[in-house]
Amino acid sequence: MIERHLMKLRARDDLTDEEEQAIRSAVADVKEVSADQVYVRAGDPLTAATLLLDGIMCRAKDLRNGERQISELNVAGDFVDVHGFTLKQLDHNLITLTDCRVASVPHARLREITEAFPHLARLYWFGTNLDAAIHREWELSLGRRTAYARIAHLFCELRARLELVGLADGDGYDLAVTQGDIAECMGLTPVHVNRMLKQLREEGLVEFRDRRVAILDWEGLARAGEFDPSYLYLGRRPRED
Amino acid sequence: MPRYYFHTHNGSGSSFDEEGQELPDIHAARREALRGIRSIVSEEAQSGEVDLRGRLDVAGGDGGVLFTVQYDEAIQVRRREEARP
Repeated sequence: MIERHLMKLRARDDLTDEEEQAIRSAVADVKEVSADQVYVRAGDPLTAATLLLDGIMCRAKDLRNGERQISELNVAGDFVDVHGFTLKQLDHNLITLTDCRVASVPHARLREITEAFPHLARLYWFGTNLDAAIHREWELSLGRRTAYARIAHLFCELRARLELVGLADGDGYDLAVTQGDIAECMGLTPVHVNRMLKQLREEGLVEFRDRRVAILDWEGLARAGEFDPSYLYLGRRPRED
Repeated sequence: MPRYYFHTHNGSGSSFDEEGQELPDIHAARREALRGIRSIVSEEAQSGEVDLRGRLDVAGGDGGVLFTVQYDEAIQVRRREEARP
């Protein structure tokens, strides 16, 4: 059930059997949530954290005129609002972009396991630091990359993150989001995204169609987006106790 | 809500929208068309070359074009007055 989450943790560090058991036992309940729901609303008091098992969720903030900025896409295996453990409420909404399966981890259990296993506390701290690194990279995209490069970069990032949890390979991955969702990630409009997708397809780099990202030329796509995966800290490091 | 499709045509070719967007009515579709054109043109402006000769066709669910917005209708350009002869 939480296999993808464990894959994500194990990609970078070792996990003992006791730690794995502690994480498994911290999961309180699992539910299905349909697409386009606000799952956690900004400002709502939080007593549990959300572990995404399947689907795509996002962090988003809205302006009064209806404009929305998505600040991160979350994929299966992500502890999507583990920052809420210390903040106790969010400053952004947590929204399902596709049908999702989510597990709830009560803050009380999270406190128990992080106190019993300091190594887990550090792994989850790493997780929030990783989110911050992703936000910085998106800031670079939104502030400085062209529309074309933003989209190329996003497709590269998602490939790397989904590959870590067994949901992507060199050919591509399933991505059931809309052009509108991509526009809200990258500060564009759906019409503009459509135009850039056409250019990326015609240049033989990537094709986004029928809810699938088909990677046609990985090297070329990475070059187009100036994708340097170092901000995703994909490397495995020896365990420190 | 009805679904509208936004097909753009300009100097670099045509881009067909297979996905479309659900919008409340045709007025919202026009606003979305204007927003889309302005998003494309604003980036062109940053590159130093703006091509306002394009058009955007908005189609309905049956594929038929409901209306067209020319790029130059979406942007007002004010220029320095030409020197008089």
